Amino acid sequence: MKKYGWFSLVWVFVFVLFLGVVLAREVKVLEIWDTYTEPNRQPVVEAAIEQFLQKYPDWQVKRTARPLEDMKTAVMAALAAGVGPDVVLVNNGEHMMGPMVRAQQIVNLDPYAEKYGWTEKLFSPSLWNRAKYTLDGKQFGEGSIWAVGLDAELVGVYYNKDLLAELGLSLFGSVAELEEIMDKVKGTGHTPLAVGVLDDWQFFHLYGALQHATLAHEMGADAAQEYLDDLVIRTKAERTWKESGNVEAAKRLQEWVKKGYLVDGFSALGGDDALQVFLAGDVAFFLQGSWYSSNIAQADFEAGFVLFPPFVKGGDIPPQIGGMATPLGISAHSPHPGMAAEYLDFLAASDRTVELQLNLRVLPARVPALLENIPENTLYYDLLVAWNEVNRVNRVGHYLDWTTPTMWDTLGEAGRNLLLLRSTPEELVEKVEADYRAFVAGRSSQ
Amino acid sequence: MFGAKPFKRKMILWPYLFLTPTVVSTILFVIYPFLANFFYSTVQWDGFGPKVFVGGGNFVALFRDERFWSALVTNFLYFIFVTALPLFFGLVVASVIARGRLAGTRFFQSAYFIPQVVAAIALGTIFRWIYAPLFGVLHQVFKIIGWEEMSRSWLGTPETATTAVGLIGTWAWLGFCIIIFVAGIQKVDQALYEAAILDGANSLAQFRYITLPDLRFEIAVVLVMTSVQCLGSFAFAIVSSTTAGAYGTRPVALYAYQLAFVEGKVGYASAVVVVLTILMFAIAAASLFLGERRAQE
Repeated sequence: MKKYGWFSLVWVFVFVLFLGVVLAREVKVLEIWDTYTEPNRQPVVEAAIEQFLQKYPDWQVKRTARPLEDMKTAVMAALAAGVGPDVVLVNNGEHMMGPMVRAQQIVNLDPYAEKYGWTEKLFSPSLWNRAKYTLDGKQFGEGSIWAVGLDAELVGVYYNKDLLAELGLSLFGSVAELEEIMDKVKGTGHTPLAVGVLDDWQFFHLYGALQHATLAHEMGADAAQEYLDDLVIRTKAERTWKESGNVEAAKRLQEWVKKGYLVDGFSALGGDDALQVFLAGDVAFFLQGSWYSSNIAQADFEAGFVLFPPFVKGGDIPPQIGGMATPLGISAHSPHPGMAAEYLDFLAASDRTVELQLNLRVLPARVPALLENIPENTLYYDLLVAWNEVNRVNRVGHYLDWTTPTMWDTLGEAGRNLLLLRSTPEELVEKVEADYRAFVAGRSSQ
Repeated sequence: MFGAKPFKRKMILWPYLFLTPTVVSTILFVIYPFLANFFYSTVQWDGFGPKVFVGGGNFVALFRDERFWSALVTNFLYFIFVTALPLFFGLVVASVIARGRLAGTRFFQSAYFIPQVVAAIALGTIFRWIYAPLFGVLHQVFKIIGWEEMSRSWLGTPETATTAVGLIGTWAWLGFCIIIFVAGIQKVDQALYEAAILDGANSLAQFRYITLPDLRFEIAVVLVMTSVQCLGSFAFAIVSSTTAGAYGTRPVALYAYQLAFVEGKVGYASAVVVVLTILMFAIAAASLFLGERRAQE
């Protein structure tokens, strides 16, 4: 009995030892919080996770994907409590990146960008400034990289090839030619331009495209890019909105309204409504972003995409509004930032990602985009050609609402008044300048 | 005799046991968030960095903030559409349904109540299609009956946008008011009406002296429900799915959201929410107080 007692005790000891070893073994989990729920992004994320797990089979990945504002709330609560994921949503600018850098809640990605060659492989330099802040988090657009997006966006002009052919019109090479064509389209009883400014961002894109082109004409394209970088991203005190190019663009836009180039009822249409109006086939142009390309590719007519033209024919390509997908960074609380960076590399820069992105018809972060397997004369081909061109000349322009935290409200309201002909172009610029000055003053007093 | 005391004690504890889940959830999900929000309203905070105590600074700034006052005015306009109009028309329609001896009363009640079971965000989307220029239902109707000149960008001009959004609220809450008032009228002692008829009271007098005083509780309930919805979530959902706050349609709740999640002013947004909450409490308390006072009279 005594013998059996000892024997049992040894077995219990061995079992406890085994259990201890198993429990003590570190469970390696990479936690990801992103916003990539769209059908053309979801497969890319899944493929990146698959590649990560193939390379590191003893790891687990726990991913949570939510809409932007929901995720932002969760990130705010988690990081403030010192917990949360390894890979985390870091929306650009003062929305998230600036406050997160200042609070030292995210990791500087410079070493990883260098290790994986991100700045050489992904985007053009003029786009990378959107992922940069100085180490103290006070200056946007300069310093170190804090986040990276998996794909890109580009705003340009969609056009109805069938309608233009039917009317015997060719494509424009300048703003003047664009206006000439819109005039002719209007004269035939068709609608020249679909736009819906009930969604403020539609105005930002419309005015922004014209403004970028006007500034490029007045200052030179590279100087305009520098001016816009300073104004929108860096918010430099020495820059001002009171440039004649900004007023001139607003004037021209009002002329477009007066001449009836914009679709009837544009003030009560949202962005998706304007898309439907364009898809109906009676409208020549739709100035919008690459995110609508899959919808437009399904249209009953042949559609094309071109960059917004220079002011005069043969002029330099003006800065074109664009950006990277809402980017991801690495939490400062992550115990394994190196693994998180490895995942980001799979997500944004791997061959598998690019292959999937080309199949899913989105703009890859890796530039130049390969055109070999894309059929010519298709909308997606046009889009990739435009994307490559913008990156080649290194002129990715800006979403103007990024200028200050209150600019969405200010420019949105001023824009509606401008388009409803209730204010002058000078008043629009005055209002925007006042908002800009207030932000710059508030920042320098901190 | 000996067993009676523990039994009594057990009886006294039982109600508390049943109340506990509600009390705990109220503390966790109502009182604690409100107190936390009040704390946040006293700090300057971007949601990520350190919180800087500013005392009443956010509230002082709030009273100088044009955007806040503009949103508050919008809310008061919505109060007319979401509370006052449904209350008035609800009383009228409920009186007709409940006392008019109409055929198909249940059909009318159900028909008016349907908007209540539709999510506010869906209502917004539906009305966006109704109001839309070019392809909107309203535009097509005007076109068919030859009133094309009446058609306009309802959600796209400052003069009509607030009214257009507000009328969605009227449509949505009318059914709720009717259901509550019909139920209220049906519990009124019919002998009172018979006596009034014998005394020669006409329909208007019956409504003024019998129906209306007897509906005081229902009116208080309707006032509380609609005004809280008007200030809080309902207008928020409708506006965010129709005009996104453009053309002077943004209510205070949506402004607070903009401040916290777009502009990164979490402390300041919390101050807006504190004021909004106090306003809701004040309206609810006033409504209930009036209802009870009328009851005592």
